[in-house]
Order: sequence, then structure tokens, then C-alpha cells
Amino acid sequence: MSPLQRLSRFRSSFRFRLFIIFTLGTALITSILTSAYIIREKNEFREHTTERARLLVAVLAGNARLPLFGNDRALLQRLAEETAQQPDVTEVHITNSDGVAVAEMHHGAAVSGTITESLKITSHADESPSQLAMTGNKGPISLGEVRVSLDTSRLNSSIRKMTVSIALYAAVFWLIIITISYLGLNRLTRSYRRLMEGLAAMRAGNLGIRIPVEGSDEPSQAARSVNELAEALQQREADNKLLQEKLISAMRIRVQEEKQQIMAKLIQTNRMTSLGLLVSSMAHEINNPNGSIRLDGNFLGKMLRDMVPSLEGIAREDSDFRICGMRFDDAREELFRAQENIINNTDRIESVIKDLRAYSLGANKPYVPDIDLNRVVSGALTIIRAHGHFTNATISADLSPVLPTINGSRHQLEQIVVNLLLNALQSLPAHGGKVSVSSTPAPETDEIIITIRDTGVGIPPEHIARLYEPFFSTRLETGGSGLGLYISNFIIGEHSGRLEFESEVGVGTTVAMHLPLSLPGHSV
Amino acid sequence: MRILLYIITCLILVMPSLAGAYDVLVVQDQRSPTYDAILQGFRSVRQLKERVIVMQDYAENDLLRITREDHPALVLAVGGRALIEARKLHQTPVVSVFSYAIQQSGPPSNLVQVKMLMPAERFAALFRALGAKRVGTVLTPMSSGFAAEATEAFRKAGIRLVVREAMKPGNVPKQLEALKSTVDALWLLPDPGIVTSESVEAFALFSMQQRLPWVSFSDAHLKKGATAAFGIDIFDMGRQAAETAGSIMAGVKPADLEDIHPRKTRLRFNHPVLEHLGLSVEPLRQLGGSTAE
Repeated sequence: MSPLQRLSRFRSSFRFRLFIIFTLGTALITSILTSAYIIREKNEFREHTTERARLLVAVLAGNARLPLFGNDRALLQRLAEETAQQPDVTEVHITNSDGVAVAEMHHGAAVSGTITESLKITSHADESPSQLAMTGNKGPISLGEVRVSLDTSRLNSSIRKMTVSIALYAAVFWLIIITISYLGLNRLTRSYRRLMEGLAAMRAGNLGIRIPVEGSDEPSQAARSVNELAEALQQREADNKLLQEKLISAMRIRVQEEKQQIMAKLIQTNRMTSLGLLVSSMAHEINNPNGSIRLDGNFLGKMLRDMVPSLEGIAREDSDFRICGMRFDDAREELFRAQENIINNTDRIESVIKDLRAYSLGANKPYVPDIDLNRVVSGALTIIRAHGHFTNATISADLSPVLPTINGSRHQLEQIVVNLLLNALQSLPAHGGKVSVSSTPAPETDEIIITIRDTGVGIPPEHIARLYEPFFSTRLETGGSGLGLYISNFIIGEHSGRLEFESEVGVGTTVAMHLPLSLPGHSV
Repeated sequence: MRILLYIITCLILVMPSLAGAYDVLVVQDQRSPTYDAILQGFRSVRQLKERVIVMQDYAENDLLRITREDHPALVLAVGGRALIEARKLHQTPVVSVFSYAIQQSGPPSNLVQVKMLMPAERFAALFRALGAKRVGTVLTPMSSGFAAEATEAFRKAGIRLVVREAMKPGNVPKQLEALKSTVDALWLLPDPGIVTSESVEAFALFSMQQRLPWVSFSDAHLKKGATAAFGIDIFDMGRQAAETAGSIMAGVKPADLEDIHPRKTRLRFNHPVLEHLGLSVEPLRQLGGSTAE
């Protein structure tokens, strides 16, 4: 800081303002008191000189009374001379009762003026008429008059010296006072100054500094409070820093975890992509034999229908005609049923393959009317059962026989049910459990509700809100994709329906699939 | 050589007798022109061998031893203190002059005074000229004899003399206060137990304040406010003393001689004081008085 800046800062300081106020105040008071004192002293000087002149006149009158009475001019002259020897006396006049000067002395000329006092001399110095009456003395005799003049030049000189002395004393007194006041203010404002310096340092960011506390005055109390505040802020800052470090650390861990999850999902997606390719190739590989089987089944059916009249003829001829150990009538029905199963299963294989291809390729199936949700559920159950991994689970179905049909995509709806059943089955403990599926019309809301219940581990409450998040799964490590419910929620949303979950950890989960009877916005 | 030794021895033996060979031992209070004038008057009449002792020069004065050793024919006491010392002598004749003592000489019989005070009759005439009927004075009891004589002399002049006694000068103002409204004039007498500068001033103040004429024994008091006083010719007093001494040395016993009053006097008055008091000057002029300078 330059000297000019330091001076400017000092001039605007609280201490300097107090000092200026105190200095000007004491100067004003000192000037007023000094002026009053000088005026009083001047008056006293003048009064004193006048009184001295009166005293000289009184003394001279007292001494001259008898000489005047006795007309002792020599003595009167000596008295006048003695009086004239007194300092500042310029003139002494003694006159008798006839006004004739009997003694006089001139002691130089007055320089700047004179104070003259005179006194008439009588035979009775101090007795008033009443005292005269009381004492029995006769009336006074007028003996004459004395007059004394004093030169005031020495008085004026004394007044000047006195004025200069008092002014010097006042100046010294004032200097002492302002010196003491400066030192006192310096001492008194030290705590205030330290408080301000400490605040400035804290404002600059140095919260570690502590303001020295002396005494118990207000700035010291404020300094103590500021110190406590700074300590609290410093502690808070340390806590914040620690929390920030923890947060950064947690975020790093979370990012790492999310990174791992994303990587797992990418792997899963890649796997799904590979699966789609596999499905496409498998569809091609399966469709060819499946088509052959279907053709053969149809051929077998034609052949069987052609062979049945001949075989009926044989059975009429041979009542114990048996095929594969069965009686002909039973064997004919079993043959037709088998042929029909072959056809149906080849159709189903074809349909499954088609759906797998469509699912893996993302094909958008058009919505169609008259979707029987019971058939959707049955199809899903067929797929699940065909999966063959959940042999310990007991799956039951309670489907309403009077269930109305709806508009929609059978395969998409079946995919939802499959996903829900898979989730239910995967939540079951290893030793087994129950999964039940029911379909119920809800005329009051014009909905159909398909409910899937399981006795699995249940869903923790904190996971309920995240069920529809993509790639959220508690079984990513065991092959879960985290896309099942995401896709299911998307599909049912497309059907203007909704999914409702009720779950209790350790008890099980109930998922209600609400589908409206009419599907607004979709033309069939 | 033997003759020279004899002469020296004789001179040594004769010298003391030569030293003590004087006629008059002059004892005076102090050195002053007044005392010198008295001695000049004394010497103008008779040229006697004398030895002068100024009491002011000695801490103690054993006048008795000096007279016993020197055997003067006469002691001339000039002044009051000299008179007091001379009263201790009972053999040597003493002539006192310039003493304010108003007491009668009485014993010792070897003393003769040339008094400073005029006879009481002269003062009575003066007070009568001032129109006084009652005259007040303050004296010590020792002056009672003089007071009786003066009272009688005043009575003959038709004036009542009121005498107040004071033991010391400090009592004078109180006694003067007692004279207030009872007298119409004051008389200051040369009583050594009374007269001091303070008591003189007390007389002056009382006179001034009570507007009473004040007659003093000394014209020196005129300037202090005395109305009138008798001036004495000091030189002539010395001559009177010389004449008395001559009588004694001629064989007259001091006891046979009377105290004598001043021969040459002059009445003087203070004109301004008379004017202040509203008194006329003429009666005093008729008594031969004159204005004091």
C-alpha cells in the first residue's frame, strides 16, 4: 500500500474522525475558556489597578489627614513623594480644603493612559453620620483632597504578557490534550481496528485468521463473535469439502456402476442382436423342415382319409382289427388327431418362428379385432411351459369363459404376458412356488384385467418406481436385460392400457394388466 | 639616663590626673543640632573644662563610677535619659536641661532643672484666649504634684483642669475617649510616661475629630495639628544652665537653688488649624503669638 493510499485510508478511518472531532472540540472549548479567562483576567487586572489606585489614595488620605489638619506641607510633600515612588504612579496631588495644592508630584508622563482616583479627606475617616451621632463625635471637617493617577501602560503590557502566556498555556494544554486523546483513541480503537483488519482478512478469504480479543468492550465482543462465526464457517467449509469429496467419490462409484450396467446392457443388446440373427437363421432352418413336416402331415392326412374306407372295410371284416395294439376305431381317431396335431404344431412352429423373427426384427404388427385374451394367455403359458426351466413352479390359470374380445396385437399382448410370467417365475425361490394367471372382465370400467400372482421374493419399495426404467434389472448378472417391463409398459401403453403392481417383500407380487375394451385411435 | 627614666615615670604617674582634670561632665542623650545648640549656649556663658559623654554611643553608662573616678565639679545632663542617669548621683551637683520631666526636682538635693515647660499660669492664659472653660489632660500618677499645682493655677484663671491618669502611653486613647464631651480644649504636657509619637498622634486625632483646640508643650507639635504651643529658645536654655552651673561652682548649694523655667519663649499657633476649628486668631496675637511657619 502506498503512503498516499495509507493516508487516504487513515483519513477515512473511524479513529481519525474521532480524533478530528475531539481535536476540534477541545480546540473550540479551549479557545472559549481561554478567551473567557483572558477577558476575566483583563477585567481583574483593570479592577486590580483601579483598586490599587483607590488603596493608594486611601492610604495617602489616611496619612495626609493629620498633616493636612496641621498644615504640615513638608510632610505632605514627603507623603506625595513616597506615594509617587510606588510603581505606575504618575501624579500625586494633595489639596487643602480651599483647593490649594499643598503637595504634588509628577512622575513622568503617561504613555497609554491613566487611571485616576481621588478622595476627599475629612477629619473623620470612616465614620458615617449615624456613627457620628452614636459616638458623639462632632461633624467632620473637610480637610482637602488627594488624587493619584496611575499609568496603565504597565497594566496594558501585563495584560499583553498575560494574554500571550495564557494563550501559550492553552496551546500547550491543547497539544497535551490532543496527544493524550490520540494515544487514548489509539488505545481505545485498537480492538476496533483489529476487528476491521480481521474482517478485511476474512473478506479476502482467510477464514483461518483469528482477531485478537482484548477486554470486554463492544468491538472485543464483536471480535469474539466474528471469531466464532469464522470458526463455524471454517468448520462448515471443511464439512462441505469433505461432503464434496464424498459426493465426488460416490459419483465416481455410481458412474462406475452405471458404466458397468451400461456395458452389461450393451452386451445384452449385442447378445439380443446376435439372438435376432440366430433366430432369423434358425427360422430359416426350422421353417424348411417344418414346412416339410406340414406337407407330410397334410399328405398323411390325405392318405389317411383315402385309407380310412379301406381300413374300415378291413375292420368290418375283422372285428379285432388293431393298429399299433389299438382297436381300429380308437386308432382311426388317434391317427386323425395325431395328423391334426402335426398340422397344428407345424402351424404353431411357423407362427412362433414368425413371431421370433418379427420380434427380433422389430416388425410392427397391425392391430386386429376380436383378440381373445384367453387365447393370448394360453399361448403365453404354452411358451413358458415349452421353456422348460421352471419345473419346480406350479402354474395355474383361471380364465373367464365370458371374456369379451378386444382390438390389438395378439403377439404383442402375448409378449407382455410372457414377460410378466417370466418375471413371476424368476422371482420364485429355488425350491419352487406358485404362479397363477386369471382373466376377468371389468364392465364397470370397460376393461379386461389379466392378473398374474406369484409367491416370489417380492419387489422392494425403492424398486417399484424404477420398474419401467430401461435396462433396470436386478438380474442383469443372470441374464436379465432390463427391457422386459420397459417394452411391456410401452406395448400396453400403445393399447391404452396400464400395468399395476402390488408387491410385498417375502410374500409375493401381483401384476394387474388393464386393457380397455375399445381401443381409441386405432382403426382395424 | 637615670634622669630621663625619672622624668618618664613622673609623666606616667601624672597623666591620669591630667586626663581627669575637667570641671563639667556633660552627659547628653544623643547627637543632634538641638543638643549642640544647648551646649553652645552653655559654653557661651562660661568656658569650662568639660568631658562629653553621648549615651547613644554606649551600651551601658555607669555615670556613678565615672564621677567617682573623675571627680567633676558639675554634671550637666542634657535630655531626659541623661536626667534619669544623673538622678543616680547624690554627691556631684547636677544641672538638668532639655528634659521634659514635669516632676519637681525634689530629692536628690544636688539636682537643679532648667525646665522646658512654661509656668501653668502662662498656659492658663493661653487657654483663656482660646475660650476654653474646661481643659483636659492625661498624666501619669507620678505627675500628680504638678497636676495639683496646675489645677490650682487654672482654677485661679477660671478654668477647670480635668486630669485623667494613664499608666502608660497605650492608655492615652482610652483616657482621651473618656474626656469626650467633657472638655473644650486639650493640653499635652511633657510627662515622660505619656509622651510618645503615638500618644501625640492620639491627641491630634482626638483634637481633630472632636474639633477641640490642642495646646502642646512643644512647638514641634504644631505641624502635627497642635493649635498652639510655646516655642523655647534652646540657646538661651543653655545659657540658663551655664548661669546655674556658675552659681553652683561659685559655692551655692544646689538645694538652695529653685528649678527655673525657660527665659525666652514665644507663643506660636497653627493658623489653618484655628481656621478648621473656627477659632479667632486675634486673642492669640494679643498674647504675642505668631503663626508657625
